[in-house]
Amino acid sequence: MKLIDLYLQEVKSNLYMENKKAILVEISDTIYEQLEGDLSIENVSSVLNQMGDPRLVANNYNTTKKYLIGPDIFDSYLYALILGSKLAFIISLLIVLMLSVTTTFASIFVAGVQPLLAINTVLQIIIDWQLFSLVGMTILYVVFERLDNPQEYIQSVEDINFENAKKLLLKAIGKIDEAAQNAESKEKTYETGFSETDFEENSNQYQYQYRRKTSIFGFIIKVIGAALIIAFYSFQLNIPDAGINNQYILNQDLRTVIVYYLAILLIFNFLILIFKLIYGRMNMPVTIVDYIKDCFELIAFTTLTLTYGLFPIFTNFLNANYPTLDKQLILQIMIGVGLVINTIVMTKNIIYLGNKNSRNN
Amino acid sequence: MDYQHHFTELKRGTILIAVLSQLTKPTYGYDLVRILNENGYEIEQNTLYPLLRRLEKQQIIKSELKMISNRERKYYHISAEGNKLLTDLIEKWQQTNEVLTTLISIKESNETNWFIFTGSKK
Repeated sequence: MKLIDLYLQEVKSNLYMENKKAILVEISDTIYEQLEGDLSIENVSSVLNQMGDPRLVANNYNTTKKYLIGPDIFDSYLYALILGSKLAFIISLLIVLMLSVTTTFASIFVAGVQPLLAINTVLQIIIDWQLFSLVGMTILYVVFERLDNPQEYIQSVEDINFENAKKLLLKAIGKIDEAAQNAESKEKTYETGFSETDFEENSNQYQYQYRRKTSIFGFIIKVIGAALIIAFYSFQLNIPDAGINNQYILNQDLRTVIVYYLAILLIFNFLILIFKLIYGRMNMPVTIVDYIKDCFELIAFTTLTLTYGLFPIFTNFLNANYPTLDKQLILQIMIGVGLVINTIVMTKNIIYLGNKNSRNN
Repeated sequence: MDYQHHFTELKRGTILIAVLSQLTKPTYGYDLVRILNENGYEIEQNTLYPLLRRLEKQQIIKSELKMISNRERKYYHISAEGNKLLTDLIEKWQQTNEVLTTLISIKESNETNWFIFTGSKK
């Protein structure tokens, strides 16, 4: 039965325990037992739905954590990213407003004379805060992933929303009492556009077929994205107004490169997301989650490594010991390291997708 | 208030006794789930199967693959070491049960005394 085979393959590709065969025998046996001889598509779909997401089934067997942020908490992670992004946006706007009044750069007064300088500063503040929020939330959820019982911590993050804030405010000013607050049903929704019901109701043969097709699409997009990133890295990026503090021009260049890099990745990811929401929303929640997860892992890792880790340490070290050394060369090396890291991660993903596709064929 | 977490914690301590007690004869995974559920011990496959795997690794249970109607099936059976563990666990469980029964009866008698004394429930 092809559908069951696909399900088992999906489980297998997410298992990294030894003796996968014994595990698959057990899962397969359970599926056939539950089918009770009725191999109709409806019955098979229903039994597979009952078994649950194959990635989660596999994850139950995996005794050591492989994921940076695993499927159990990934929906909540997306929720937290969106929440963090909104908060970061508000904070950055406040900072921009404050800087516009208190400093000369980014001020509305210089915008007419040096528009690039003003725009660059504003964008940088916004992007910096988005980056802080992204990295912060990622680290937080990486820690959650490694806790024994992350659900209670996740719940506290999920409880941060406009509705609860409103309730707290109303309660503080005495407009609502606690009993009324508790009486309201607590409905958990994620802003990913999917729900478990979506997955369960539509877990049929087409889900797996569609997933395969879009994996190929994802593969092509990744190749194009990688090519574009390489192209951007190859050019010397030089924005005249980018260096606010001239003494840190090297850092400024690096930041510009990273910002471009992030922008390209994010634009591609959002395009893919929109494409999938329009054409395949009901059929493929897992793939979207998979794909975004890959990208965020990549962004978080590269950003952390380059911006906050290796580069400042190296620059300080070089300045102290080799003041005459060409820093531009070092910058190129750092970018090269980033490129190698990206290439390795992307190649891994591409090989993984390739394997999955050949198996499904 | 959601007490589910506490119920889960309570159940976690008993799962080993429930599972091992049913593996004194060779049983396959799905059948074990069925037996436990039919007898009122609710458990999901996703909880049980990884547990069986862990127990097998610790040599508390043993497994064997058998061909049944052209399909492989994995049968589990308690090992000698597992049997010893089960006996100890049952003994500990009975002791704990006795202690808890005593504690609960003290609590109930306290409540009765309180009712007699004050005329209202605590």
